[in-house]
Amino acid sequence: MTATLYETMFILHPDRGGVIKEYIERFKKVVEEQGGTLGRLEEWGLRDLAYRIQKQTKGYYTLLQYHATARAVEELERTLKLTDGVLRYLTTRVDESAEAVPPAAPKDASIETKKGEEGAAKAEPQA
Amino acid sequence: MAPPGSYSRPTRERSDEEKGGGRRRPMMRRKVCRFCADKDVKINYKDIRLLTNFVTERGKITPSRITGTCASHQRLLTIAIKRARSVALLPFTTVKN
Repeated sequence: MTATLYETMFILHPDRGGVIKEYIERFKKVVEEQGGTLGRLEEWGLRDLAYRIQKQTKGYYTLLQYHATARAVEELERTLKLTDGVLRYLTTRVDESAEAVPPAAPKDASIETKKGEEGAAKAEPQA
Repeated sequence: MAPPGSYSRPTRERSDEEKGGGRRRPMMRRKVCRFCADKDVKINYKDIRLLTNFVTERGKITPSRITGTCASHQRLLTIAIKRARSVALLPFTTVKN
């Protein structure tokens, strides 16, 4: 089994602000059930969308990194697709050698930007 | 919608041509790829602040002949911009939004 580092970004409906944690927990569980190990979690908070999605102009951005198999990604994406309140999601493979990149700070510094939990700030070579 | 071809090139380039005088070989400052010059800059779809430097006001991807980006970095840039668009970090277009 080859586990790759993936990251999935998803945008939640602005009306679901109160239950974001529950959503995140649900998605985390999916990854874990598929034998993945969770990495960094970034909550960007409510941001303006560059264009409207489902008539919404704002959304809650969340980024989840995890080591998992392709099968887990499939399952997570299926769950995201079926879950109401998910406006958009995007999974990308992360180049682990280049993972010293600091989290891109959202430019419109809107509500609660949690940069904590830098998932084991392991051997991230500084400078 | 403005008619095609109404896209104006940056004025800097024009003035350089005039300065150079010669009609055939305009003296243009050699543009260097920003990502080759600074290896620390990583192209990432989440780095909107960086990516906005490489799209026009309309949200189009700026051609490398204007920005001076080398071919391999331009390819990475294109992918990053398209990813950013798909998660609504960058606009597809700013017209009729």
